Amino acid sequence: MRCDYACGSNEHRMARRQFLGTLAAGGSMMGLSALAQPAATAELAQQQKRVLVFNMAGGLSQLESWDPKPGTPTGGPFRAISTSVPGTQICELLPETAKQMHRLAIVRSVNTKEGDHGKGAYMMFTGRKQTPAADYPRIGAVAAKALAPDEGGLPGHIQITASGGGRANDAAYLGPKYAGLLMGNGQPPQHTTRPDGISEVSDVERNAMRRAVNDRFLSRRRTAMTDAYTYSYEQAQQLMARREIFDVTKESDQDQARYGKHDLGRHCLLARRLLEKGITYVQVSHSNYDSHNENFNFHLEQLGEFDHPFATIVGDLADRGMLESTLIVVLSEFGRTPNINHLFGRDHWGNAWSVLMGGARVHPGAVIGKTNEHGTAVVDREVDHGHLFHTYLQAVGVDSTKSFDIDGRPIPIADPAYSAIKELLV
Amino acid sequence: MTSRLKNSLLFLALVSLLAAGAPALAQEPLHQRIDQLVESNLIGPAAAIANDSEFARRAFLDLTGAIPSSAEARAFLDDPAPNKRELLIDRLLASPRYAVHMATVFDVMFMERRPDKHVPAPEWLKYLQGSIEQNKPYDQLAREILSADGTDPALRPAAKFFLDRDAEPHSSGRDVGRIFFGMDLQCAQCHDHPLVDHYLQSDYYGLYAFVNRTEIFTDAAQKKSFLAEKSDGDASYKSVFTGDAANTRPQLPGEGEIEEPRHRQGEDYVTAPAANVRAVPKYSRRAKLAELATNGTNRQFNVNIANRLWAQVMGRGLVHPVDLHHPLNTPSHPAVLDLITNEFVAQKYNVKWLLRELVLTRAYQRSIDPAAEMSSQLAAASQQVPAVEAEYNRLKGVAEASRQAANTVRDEMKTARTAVEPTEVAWKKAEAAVTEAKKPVDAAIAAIGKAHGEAVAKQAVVNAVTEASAKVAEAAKLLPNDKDIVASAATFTAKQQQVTGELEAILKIVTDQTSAQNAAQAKLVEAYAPADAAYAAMVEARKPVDAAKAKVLVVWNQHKADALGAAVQKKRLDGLQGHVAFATVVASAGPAQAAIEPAKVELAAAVQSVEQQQAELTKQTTAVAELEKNMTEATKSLEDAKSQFAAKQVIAQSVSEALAKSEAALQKLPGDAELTVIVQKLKERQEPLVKEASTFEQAVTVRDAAAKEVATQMTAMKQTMTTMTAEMAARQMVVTAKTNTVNLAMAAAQASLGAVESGKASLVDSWTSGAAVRPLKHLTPEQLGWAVMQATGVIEPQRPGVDAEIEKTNPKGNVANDAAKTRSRDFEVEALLHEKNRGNLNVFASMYGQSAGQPQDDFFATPDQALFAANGGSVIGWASGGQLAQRLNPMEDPKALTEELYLSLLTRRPTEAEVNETTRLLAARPTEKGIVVRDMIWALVTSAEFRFNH
Repeated sequence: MRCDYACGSNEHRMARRQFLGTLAAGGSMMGLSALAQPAATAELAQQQKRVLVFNMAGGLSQLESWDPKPGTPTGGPFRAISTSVPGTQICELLPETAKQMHRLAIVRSVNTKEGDHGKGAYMMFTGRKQTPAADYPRIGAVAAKALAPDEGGLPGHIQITASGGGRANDAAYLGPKYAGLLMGNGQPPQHTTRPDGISEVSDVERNAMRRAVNDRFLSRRRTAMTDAYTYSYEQAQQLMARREIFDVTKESDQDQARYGKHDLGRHCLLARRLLEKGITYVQVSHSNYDSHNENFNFHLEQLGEFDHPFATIVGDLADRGMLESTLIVVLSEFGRTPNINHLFGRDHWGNAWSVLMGGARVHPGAVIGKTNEHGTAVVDREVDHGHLFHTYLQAVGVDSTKSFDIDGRPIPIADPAYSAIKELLV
Repeated sequence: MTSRLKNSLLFLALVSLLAAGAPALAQEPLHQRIDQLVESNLIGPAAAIANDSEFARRAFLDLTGAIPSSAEARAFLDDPAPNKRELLIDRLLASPRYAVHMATVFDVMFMERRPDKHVPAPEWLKYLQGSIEQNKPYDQLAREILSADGTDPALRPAAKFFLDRDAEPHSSGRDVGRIFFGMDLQCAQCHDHPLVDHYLQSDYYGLYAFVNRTEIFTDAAQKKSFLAEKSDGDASYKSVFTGDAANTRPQLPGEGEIEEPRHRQGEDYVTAPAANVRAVPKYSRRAKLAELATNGTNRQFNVNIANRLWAQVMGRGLVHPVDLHHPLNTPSHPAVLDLITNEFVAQKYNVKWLLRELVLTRAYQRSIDPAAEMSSQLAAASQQVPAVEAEYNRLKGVAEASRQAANTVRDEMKTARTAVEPTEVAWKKAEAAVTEAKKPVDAAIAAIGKAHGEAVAKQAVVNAVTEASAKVAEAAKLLPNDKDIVASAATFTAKQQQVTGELEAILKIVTDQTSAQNAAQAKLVEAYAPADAAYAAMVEARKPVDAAKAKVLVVWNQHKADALGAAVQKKRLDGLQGHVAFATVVASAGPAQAAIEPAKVELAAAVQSVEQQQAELTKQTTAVAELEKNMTEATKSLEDAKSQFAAKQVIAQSVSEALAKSEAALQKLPGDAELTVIVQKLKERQEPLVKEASTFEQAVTVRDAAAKEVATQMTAMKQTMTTMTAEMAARQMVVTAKTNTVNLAMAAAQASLGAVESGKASLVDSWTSGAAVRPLKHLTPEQLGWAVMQATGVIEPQRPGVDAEIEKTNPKGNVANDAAKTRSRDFEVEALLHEKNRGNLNVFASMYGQSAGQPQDDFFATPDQALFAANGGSVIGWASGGQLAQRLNPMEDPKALTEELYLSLLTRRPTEAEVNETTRLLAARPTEKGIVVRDMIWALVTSAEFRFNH
């Protein structure tokens, strides 16, 4: 789908091409890190920490969302409205979300100093600056590695994307086990149904023989590798048996109506289903906010689609008692310029923008930091991708100052030069 | 004498001792020397040598990336020759598959499965395959890869390493460090490595400086990219931790900054950079890297590749991970690493030779089954601990002292460095003046170049116009009355003058600019002198710093050696202590196990005594019940007697009363006959009645006594009962206590069995890294893909077609009588066969391989791989339609079928149980033989035995 208002920068085209390339390359594969033991109890599920990230691809305008500046030269045409938190106002384009703000928190002082789509997204998803000499795992892979139960087995990291499928290349040194499983337009993973040529008897017998051969061999020598290998086949079988986890149509008609029949509505309901079934990290993408022209019309349209299903999932997670264990983040690669250009657009802007968080240890109703009157600079509690990355992880109980041990190499979980936004956490 | 000096002398003595023995040692092939070193250094027991099946499968996989066919397996297993293993190794090393396989190994090592960018994979693989087929020495291969710029067609593929990393200096610098020197210095980019003490920021930038002037040049006409290089560009850095900043010249790991020639600006390029011109400097730092790394003297370069080749066949580096060489990541066998490194260099980096020696070792050929018996090793370990521990503590002190010495000299160096800064600034300033002075020269040269181009074009115009003008003039002469022609002639003459004038103007520009250039050149030359002087001053000022740096290097290298020495000793100590701890665990496991039986006996006794008491209690309870019955009866009979007595008393009473009243009446009416009769009769009646009542009264007394007797008995019996119940409770408590004791003993035994098991597992790990037992080594994605396709029989059917394709350019007939040419043709066929299947191999690489650009050695298993194997079309299709299925389906005898199945897929003959299993499966579904065969093939292909090289 062509996106006329998005910028035509080389980087943007490149990022898009790489993205599509990834999808195409992954087309014949499917990616699942693991799958759950059917025995996983509801209680355990309660304790398990989860992360839900909304990627407002292209760059959501902070001025038309979390940090409105009505009545100023940079503020644009929209009003600010009161929210369920006295004294906190957000843009009128988000009336349903406004009613959920007592469960959410805004960081209004993000300054990443990066106006490039690819680099900005890299920073926001890895908590580090992009360097050619190293690649770092994205937040989903880190969450899957740090939080997804080992003995469980459901994939720890799922991204609901517009299209495609397979396994993302986003886990860097954590390895493909933690890479994102891409559910293109919510489609279930590949190869999870038995092909026609394999009868149930065949499947039972071939697996029985496989196990028998394994038992004889492994009685000689068993290692973590052989365990992981033999377990992967058991996980595959369980996954096939539990394929309905990925099927949003199994949700009630009422819920499907509540979330809306459009793609984002379905994706949000699927996200809720996945989180309820024990998936650790779920990412929903909403595209495309890169409004170099007609910024206001596009935000009116885009946020009009976003507001209702987003507020619904926040409310549902709270009602189900899952919000205490689920971190919600709404982020972009950057925000948009306070300056309104001659096409009524706003351009790339990493210097003073906002990120929305909520749930888990995030202080409900908090507003962190401040921009100046016209939103052109951060004036209080400046933070960037590094602080945010630590904060996300600490919000779900991961000690982000520790290191992962990667085959004998200790690698810091998050950039050691940064720390979390402590006052945002309870 | 200092202890350091003493050590050095000791070391020298040791060296001369070794040297004295050297001639004898040198006679022995490398593999024997490796085994002597490995085996003399063992702490635990060595595993037995693997059987023929496992050896064959292992050697095929490691040397050719394939598994033996059933025919090859049968032939090898049934070959009685005692030296058949050596023969097989030589045959495999000589096979065309060796080059194809090792090319993949080197491809993965150098490129880490990155997607293609500037050099297509087929060209690159062809280059690597060709290099390995001719057994190109590794130093030469590395030199070609590090120095190629992509312009020489023959070596263009070698430029892939830098080109496909876009010549990005951090990316290539990091990967040069990891891949060619075995040092992952990435974390030292922004500061000294936070976790590896011996990786410094200066190490990172020393390598970076070799490559940071290299850049991509894209030729617009050819639409191809090449490597260009600038003649300037600094490698300066500042630590984000300490703020310490420096500018470094290139420096190889373990060595000092190199001396470099200086070329003046304007004299520094073979081809100066310009639009669409590939810059080629007179002095190339990248070429210098290629030269210095591969000239045989850089130890880290040599150690890295020796270790990587060891890891390639052994499944684990002597230093592991292979890109983390530093003193605290100690080699498992430092002496072996030294030996194979030195011998490999002495053999002129002969890869095939080293691999041959490695696979000939017992260390390579050991079984995956850990040795079971180790009591003598355990006993020996505990004896060695004290001495090793003492030596470790001593070496630790030595390392700490040399660390402090290194810190001191490094601080001195940093202080000295500050003195150079002003001279560096002055030199840079002078160079900037040269750059300024050079600008008019460049401008003039550019203008001359442009004018030259224009002059050439204009000259052509002048020529054409002059020619045309002459022709038209000629025509005008012939047709003097033709006005048009005459007018044309005039026009042409005018035009001719005009363009000639224009040409002259251009030529004047050339002349003017040439004199401008000469003038500017003179000024440039004037500017050279101060720059030369400033450079000389800087070099002079740098001398003490360079001297200090040289001292730092010596002391730092000494510290690294000391730290390594201590770490080696620590590793040995850990190994010994691990074995001692295991011996303790095993020793306590026996008594813990033994404690269970006595506790159980005591428990049984206690249970028995409870049972006895229970029996007594039961008896007593019966007696009590009996007595209670008696008591009820006695009470009833007493009550009966009492009521009978009372009844009689009532009658006697009433008779007595009647008598008294009658007698009273007789006294008032004395002699009344009737009354007298009545009194008489009443008296007669009263007497027996009184007697009767008295009898009943007596019975009451008797029965009362009897009831009291029973009650007394009852009290006594109840008391006994209470005592016995108390005894029972006491005995039951004993049982509880004893049960607890038994449970504790069993838990303790269980725990110590667990400790034995996990202790054994960690010992097996240490034996594995100590090359005393063979590790399970997962098949690489390429080995797995090839082995699956080959074993299911989808490769061989392609061979005739591939051969026919080669036949077009290289007919068999032409090579028939020439062994070398035949061999070369076979290699061509094998390479093309591989190329034809690369698409399938890529599917396996993306499914089973690590992320592109990451180290590719780590194993992982995910359900999506299993789902791909279970439900994807490829594996099922090959299992049902490959040549193996076609061979198996017509076979009538289940035993023969099973043997072919197992030899084809697992390189071994099946056990009896396995034959029975397949026989049963075939018999259960006689009408679906094809399906059963397919499923059995699938089961073996997806088994752990297939997945791991064992």
